[in-house]
Amino acid sequence: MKPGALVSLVGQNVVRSKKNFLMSGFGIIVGISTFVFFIGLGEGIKNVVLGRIFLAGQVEVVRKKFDTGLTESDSLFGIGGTRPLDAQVARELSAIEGVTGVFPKMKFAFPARGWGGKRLFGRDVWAEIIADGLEPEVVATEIEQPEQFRDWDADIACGDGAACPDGRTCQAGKCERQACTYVDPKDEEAAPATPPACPGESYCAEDTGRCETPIPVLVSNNLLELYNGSLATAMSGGAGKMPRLSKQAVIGFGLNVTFGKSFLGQSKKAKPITRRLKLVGFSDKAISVGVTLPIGYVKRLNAQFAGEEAAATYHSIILEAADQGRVPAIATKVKAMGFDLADKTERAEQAGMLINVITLVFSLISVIIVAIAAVNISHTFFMIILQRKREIGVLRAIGASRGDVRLLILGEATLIGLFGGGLGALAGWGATRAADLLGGRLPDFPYKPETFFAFPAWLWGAAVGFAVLFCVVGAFFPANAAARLQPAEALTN
Amino acid sequence: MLGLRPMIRLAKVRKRYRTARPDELALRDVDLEIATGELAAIVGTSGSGKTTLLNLIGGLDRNYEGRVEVDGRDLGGMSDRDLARFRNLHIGFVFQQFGLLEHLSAVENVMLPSHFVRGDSPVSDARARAVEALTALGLGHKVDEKPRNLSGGQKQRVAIARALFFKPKLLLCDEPTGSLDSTTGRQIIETFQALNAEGYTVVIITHEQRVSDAARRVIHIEDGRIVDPGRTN
Ligand SMILES: Nc1ncnc2c1ncn2[C@@H]1O[C@H](COP(=O)(O)OP(=O)(O)OP(=O)(O)O)[C@@H](O)[C@H]1O
Ligand SMILES: [Mg+2]
Repeated sequence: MKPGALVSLVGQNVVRSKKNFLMSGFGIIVGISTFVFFIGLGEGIKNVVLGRIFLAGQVEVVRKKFDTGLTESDSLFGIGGTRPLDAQVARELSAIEGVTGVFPKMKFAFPARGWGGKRLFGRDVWAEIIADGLEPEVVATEIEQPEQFRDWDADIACGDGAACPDGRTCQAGKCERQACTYVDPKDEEAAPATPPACPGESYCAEDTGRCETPIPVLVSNNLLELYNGSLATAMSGGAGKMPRLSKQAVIGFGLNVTFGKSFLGQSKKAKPITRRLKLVGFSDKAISVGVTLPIGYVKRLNAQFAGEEAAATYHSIILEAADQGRVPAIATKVKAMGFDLADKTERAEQAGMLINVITLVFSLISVIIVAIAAVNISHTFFMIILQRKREIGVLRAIGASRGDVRLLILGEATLIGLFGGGLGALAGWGATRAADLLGGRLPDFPYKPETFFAFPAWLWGAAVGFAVLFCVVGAFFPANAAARLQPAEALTN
Repeated sequence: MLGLRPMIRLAKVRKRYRTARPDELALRDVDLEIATGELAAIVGTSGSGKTTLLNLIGGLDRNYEGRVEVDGRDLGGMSDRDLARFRNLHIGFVFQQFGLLEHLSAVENVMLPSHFVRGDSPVSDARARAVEALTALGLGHKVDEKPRNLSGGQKQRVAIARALFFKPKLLLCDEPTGSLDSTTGRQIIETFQALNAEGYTVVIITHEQRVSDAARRVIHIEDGRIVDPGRTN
């Protein structure tokens, strides 16, 4: 049978039996819209949870802790400690199959506190500083001005046209800090006319008596989310409203930090020093609450305020996987090597699993709805074939083969599937729009997404394909029964 | 203009319906020849086996014993597909209840056989051929009409036009005037006579005297047996 003829005959048949197909078609629409809604929701939530709250495709390795039930420690009753994360471990981890990147992180092993933010918040904010260091190259492709996120305190070569940063002069091919006279900020406020001792961005440090370049820091995208989503509201009131912040507004934001002393304690190794931090970008690899520095600073500061061992061991090592599917295998290998996974990684795996299970349950419900519709379609077709028995006999008499009869009925099922699937997908999508509209009315909360849904391309294909498949399966037995009918038998009244 | 080769040849054909008792035969050792170009009527009482016989000749029923040949081809040896193709191109059917698809227009009904052609169609422009067939039967002004808007005689002429779509060798008609009044019935019979004059071999089942009178040969069947082969004079 020619495709054109098939399409036209099938189309005319569906139109004339539309009342019969309405019920089962409706079932398909309900089932498929449910399918699209919940798969879309699952994918959307996964995007937010795994993509933004946790980082997909990463495994964060930490030193193994012994959990005695009461306490956690690096060693079991003080006997035989676990392996600290050092450069050698980083090399071993990089050899795991499927690992495409190894990014050590080092935290401050000493107290620090910061203050500043008058320009942004209208008043200075004091805070305990939690800081983390990572290799600048890790974020080089992610941040907008990677040249700013570097270790300025490493030796900087100059000459041959290569200039030095503010507050430094070129001496024997190296940028040396200029000497300066420190003025206490309080005095500076009292006598604002005092010309700055250090040019440009540089500032005079009290302990060195030289012009220093602000330490570049990154913060996580999440931090801004958290701030805008809840902190701004929580901190408003009393002292006045806290503004919502955009990324552009906070880039270049400066903060004074005292290393070696905080509200919680003081380093016994060295006298506290004060430095300036400057926010140069945002990164998903930055510590979620705190600031992230080039790792060189953290190593030096840890050595100065906490000792050499603290400067040689990493707090964690992030492994980047070739793809999300590799993560479980990598996690297993890491555990076998005697290391733990960061809580975040564990939780990401659990959250991903939970979302998958919930999505699966709802997909199953939609499959059941569609399956019921398919049974309904099967009944409808048996009825229709009974009604059209004589007509099938006539078609057979004028030249339709068994295959032609089967094709006609399966064609009708396909058309119903295409319609039901298409309308179902549309209805499901419409429902997601409505849900997002309702969701938009909810008060802000951290990580609140613009949409709770995501629709990968395969979802549309699956929705329609799935509807067609069930309709065709439902029509399969009726179609065979019709094809088996002898023409003479079909023609009898 | 009787041809030498028989259009239809049945030898020792025996048919028993599956639901019937073992000794209850619908056709009992039927031997029959109908020559090319004949206009033959098959008459007999109700339940004598006329429709059963016509179904075997038309390749609509493959469960029988004996041999059925149409235009020199043994229908028993053909697959469902080949038989469908044979019916499509070489046999035209006309039924008492017309057998039109109510949701299709007259011309669409007439074109139906073209949808089931396998391979190259002998008719290049199906619609033009359908209109031509309808016009030849006096229905040129009703091509786009649905069957429900046509009279009984007009419906039967649409059915005849469809049967003639591929200009088949053989027309098989089961009580073609059974649902028509006498005047209309006569017109239909005249149509068959005219078609026979054009060269079509026509076999008509009937129990109406005036129909069998119009035939050149009348075959009598009784209780599954040919009691009078009605040799032409
Ligand atoms: N599908 C069937 N199943 C069982 N028996 C059948 C079937 N069709 C016909 N018969 C029986 O076969 C015999 C011949 O029937 P057939 O329909 O050929 O008669 P007919 O001559 O065409 O009668 P009528 O003039 O009433 O149409 C009858 O006894 C009938 O009951
Ligand atoms: Mg009959």
